[in-house]
Amino acid sequence: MSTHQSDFDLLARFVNQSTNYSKNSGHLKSGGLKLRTDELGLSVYGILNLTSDDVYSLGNSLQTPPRRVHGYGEFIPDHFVNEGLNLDTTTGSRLHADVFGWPSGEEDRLEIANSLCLKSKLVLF
Amino acid sequence: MIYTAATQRQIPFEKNISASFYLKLDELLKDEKKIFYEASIASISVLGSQACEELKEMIADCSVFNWDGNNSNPINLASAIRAEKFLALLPLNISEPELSLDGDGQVIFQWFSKNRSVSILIKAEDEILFSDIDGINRAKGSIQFDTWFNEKLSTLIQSLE
Repeated sequence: MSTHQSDFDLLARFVNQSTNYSKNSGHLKSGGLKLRTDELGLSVYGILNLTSDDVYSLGNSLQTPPRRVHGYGEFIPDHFVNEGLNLDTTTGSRLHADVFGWPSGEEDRLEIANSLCLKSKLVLF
Repeated sequence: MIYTAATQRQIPFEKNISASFYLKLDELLKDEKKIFYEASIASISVLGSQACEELKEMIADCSVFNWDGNNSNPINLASAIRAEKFLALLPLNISEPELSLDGDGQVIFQWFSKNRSVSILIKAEDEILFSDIDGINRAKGSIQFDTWFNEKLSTLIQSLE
């Protein structure tokens, strides 16, 4: 009996600025995960069934204006759910998901971003 | 040299800032704050510290909307100025912080250890937000941005070592 695994069982938050990830720690930094005050969702992409080349192509295809994607922070859905957030896989393109349910307070948003940093696994291309 | 009273740290600073860098700033600064900022930018360009270099790079690279492809706001210059001051006030006996920018263009200082991450957000206003995740233990709060290093913050940062 096989269990179907969804693309969204493994999630990528792409980064294209070296300032938002830490090579030393192997994590994303808080800045790369803390939304604008007026922003409601954090964009992530389902990558479980993609090859590393496909992930690279996907990351580059998202860059507007075109620029080089450096890598991504890898998450599983529970990382977000355990912070009280939700994942909406019905928005945007096929592999896109929005992490929503963020508290409005900036202090709370920083705390969640800080916690997610530690859970992220940095993958550089 | 800049001498900071809190740390007695000597920080050499670079005076030769490129014309293009100033042009970029001119676009961003339109009022009387410019004079204040020009004075501050000289001290932002301090050398000899990875964090200072990161701050300089962020000012240069993140000064336009959508600098990260996620519709983030450009670097908030008031936050950057305060970040430079905060950096100069850091105790000498702690490890160097890593810097990043949030979606609002505000500077965040961060320290990582195995199961711990401390993030300190420098807001444009005179306020600092902090979050300390240490395994299952969490602490967060906000404090006033002071010239002198806040005791609460100092205790938090010293505990990183």
